[in-house]
Amino acid sequence: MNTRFDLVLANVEQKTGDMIFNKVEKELTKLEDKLSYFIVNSDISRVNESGKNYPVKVEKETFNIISSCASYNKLTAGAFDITCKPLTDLWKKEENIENEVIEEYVNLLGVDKIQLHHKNFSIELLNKTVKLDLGGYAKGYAMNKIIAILESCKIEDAFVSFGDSSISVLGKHPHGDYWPAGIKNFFRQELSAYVFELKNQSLSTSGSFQEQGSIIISPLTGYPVYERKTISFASSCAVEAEVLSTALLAANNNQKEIIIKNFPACQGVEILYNETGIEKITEFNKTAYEFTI
Amino acid sequence: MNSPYKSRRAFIKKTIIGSTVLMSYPWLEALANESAISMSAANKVRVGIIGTGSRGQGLLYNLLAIETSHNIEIAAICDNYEPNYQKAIELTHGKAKAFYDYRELLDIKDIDAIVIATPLHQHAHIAIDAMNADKQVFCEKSMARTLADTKRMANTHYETGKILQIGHQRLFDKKYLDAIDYVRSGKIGNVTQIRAYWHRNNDWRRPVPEGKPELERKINWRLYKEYSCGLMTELASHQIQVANWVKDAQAVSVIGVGGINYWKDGREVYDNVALIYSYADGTQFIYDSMTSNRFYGLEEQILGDKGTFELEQNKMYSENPPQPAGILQLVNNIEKNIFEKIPIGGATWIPETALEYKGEYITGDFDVNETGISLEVFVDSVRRGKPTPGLFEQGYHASVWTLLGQQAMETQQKIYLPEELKI
Repeated sequence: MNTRFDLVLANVEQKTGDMIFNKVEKELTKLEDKLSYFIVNSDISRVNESGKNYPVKVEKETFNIISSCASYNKLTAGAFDITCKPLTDLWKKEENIENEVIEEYVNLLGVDKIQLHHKNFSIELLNKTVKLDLGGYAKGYAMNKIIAILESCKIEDAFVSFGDSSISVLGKHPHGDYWPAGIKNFFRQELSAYVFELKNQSLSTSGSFQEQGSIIISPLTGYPVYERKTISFASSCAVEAEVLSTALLAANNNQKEIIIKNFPACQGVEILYNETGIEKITEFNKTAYEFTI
Repeated sequence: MNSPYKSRRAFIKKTIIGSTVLMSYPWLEALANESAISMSAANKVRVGIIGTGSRGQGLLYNLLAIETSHNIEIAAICDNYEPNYQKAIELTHGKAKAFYDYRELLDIKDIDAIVIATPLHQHAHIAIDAMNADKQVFCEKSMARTLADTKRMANTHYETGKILQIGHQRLFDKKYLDAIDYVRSGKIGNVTQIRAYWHRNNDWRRPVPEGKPELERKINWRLYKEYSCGLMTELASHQIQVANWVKDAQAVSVIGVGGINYWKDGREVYDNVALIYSYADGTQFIYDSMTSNRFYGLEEQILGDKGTFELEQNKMYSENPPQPAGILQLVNNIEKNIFEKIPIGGATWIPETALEYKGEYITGDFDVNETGISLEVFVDSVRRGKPTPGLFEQGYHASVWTLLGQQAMETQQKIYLPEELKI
C-alpha cells in the first residue's frame, strides 16, 4: 500500500506482540498482492491490463470488494469512485487541459463502465480508458481485517496507523478512557487542529494540498480540488471512514449534505486552510468532540 | 569577527562538550583546555616545510592562513625539484629561506617545527633527522615506506620526546568525531563489520616534462615500489586508520590479494587490491581499492546491529528507522503513564510514493577544514612542547597495518603483528 504501517499494542508480552505482528504482516502482504494497482499480477492489475471487453476472473474477495465499491459509489452520489485514476494521471502530466478532453474522460470513467459478472467472479471494463484503483478503500479494508485479527487474539487495547491517514483503535488508551487522535494542523504539524476521541473506531483523513505533490481530482467534475483542506471521518467501519473522507473531499456543499445523510453514524470534520493557517472548521454529524485550535 | 580560527575553536569546544566519551579523541581535549595564544615575538613558532609538491603546497596554504592567528612564521622551505622549489618561494613571497637539501634546513637552530610532505620513502630519514635535530615534526601520511622505517620513527619519537604527528586529517573531521562518539555510546550497537573502498578510474600519473624521461620515477613515485606501496600507502592508510579508530583497537591479522590487471604501463605497484583485516573480537574489516572504475567512489561503512554509518557521506542509517513523531510520542506516553492528546492523524500527502528511508546526517552542516585544524593542533602542541596524547599512535598503527596488508598480498600469507613492531 506504499505507506508506513504502525501497530501499538498496550500491555502485551513481547512474544505475543511479535506473533501478532507476523500475522498482521502476512495478511497485509496477501491483500497487497491481490489489490495493488502497482503489483503486476494483482487482481486489480490483471483487470486493468486485460479487462477491456473481456471478463477477467478474480478471487471472490476481490470481486466482493469491487461490488462494495460500486455500492459506495451510489451512496456517495458518485463522489467515491475507484475508476478515476486515469484522470488523476492526466492532470499529473498536464497543467492546462481542454474542457472537451476532461468531459470526454468523465464520460468514459465511472463505475457504470465496469461490468461485474457475478456467476464466475469476473470483472470486465467497458472501454479502454477506464481503470481500477482502490486507493484508500484498500487501506480501510485491510484495517478492518487487522482489527479482526487483533480481536481474535484477544487484544483489548490497540492503536493502528497507516501513514497517519488511516487510524483504527481497539478499546482505550492505557491511561485514559479513549484513544485521543489529533488531526495535525497542516501549517503546524506539532499541533492538533481537532481531536477525535476514538473507542473501537477508525479514523480516516484525506487532504488536498498540491504543494505536497498530491493531486485530488473530483470524479464529479473531472477537475482538481483546488481548496486546501483535510476531511476526516470516524466510523466503526474503517472502510466507511475511508470512503467518506475521500468522497467529501471531492463533493460540493450540496453533495456533502446528501452524502452525510446516508452515513448518520459517522462523525467528521473538514479543516479548510488559507495561505497562512486554518480558515474554517466544519463538523459533520457531531456528537461529542473536543474543539481545539 | 568570525575568523576561521574562532569558528574552529567553537567547533572543537562544541565537539568536546557534546561528547559522551572524551577518551575517543584526547587530542582535542588537550586543545580545548589550552589558554589563549601569546602573540609575542618570543612565542612565535617558526616552521620549515620539506617537500613542496602538491600536498606540501596544500599544507603551506593552510599554514599561511593561520600565520597571524597562531603566531607562526613559515621560516624555511625545501624541495629538490626546481618547479616545486620555485613555487614555494613564490607562495612565501621570498620571505622564507629556501633550500634544495633538507639537512641545511634542519641546521637552522631557531626553527621549531618541520612539516614533511615529501615522497613516502623519504619520510623516515627526514623525520628522524629532524627529531634528532631537536625539531617537532608533522609528517604527512602514510608514515613510512617500510615497517622498519616506521618503527625507527616511533623509536626516535619516544626516545627524543619530540612530537611526531602523522597527517591523518579524518581525526579532525567533525563527522568522524561524532560518529566515533556514537559508536562508543552504542548508537549503532555492536560493530561487527567494517567495509571500506576507494575506487578511481584514472592512471594515477602526473605529467612528466617533455624531453625529460629521467624524471619519470621522481614525479610518478607513487607507481614504483622503491618509493611507495601505491594504493595501500597513498589511499588505504586513511581508511585503515579509521577502522582501527572505530574499533579502538588494532587489527590482529590481515589477508589480501592484489595485482596489476588494468594499467599495464610499467608501473610496479598494484592497480587493484582486496584485503580483510580481522580484529580480536571477530570483527572483519573488508577493504578494496581499484583504479579502473569510479562508480562507487570512496566510502567507509561501519556496520552495527543497530545501525550503519557511511562516514564519507556523513550518513547514518538505523536498522529500525525512526518512527513518525506522533507514534513515537504515543508510545513514550504509554510507557510513562501519560494520557495526552497528540497530533497523530493527517492526510498522507504523497499518497502513492513508496516510503524511502534515506538515513540521517551524522553531523550538521559544519564546513570545517580538517587539514587546517590538524595543523593548528600541531602548532599548539609545538607551543606546549610536548606531543598531543594519543595522536601519534593513530598514525603508527595505521602505517603498520597498511604495510602488513601489503606484505600479506605480496607473500600470500596471513600476516600477524610481529612482536618487534609493538609499541
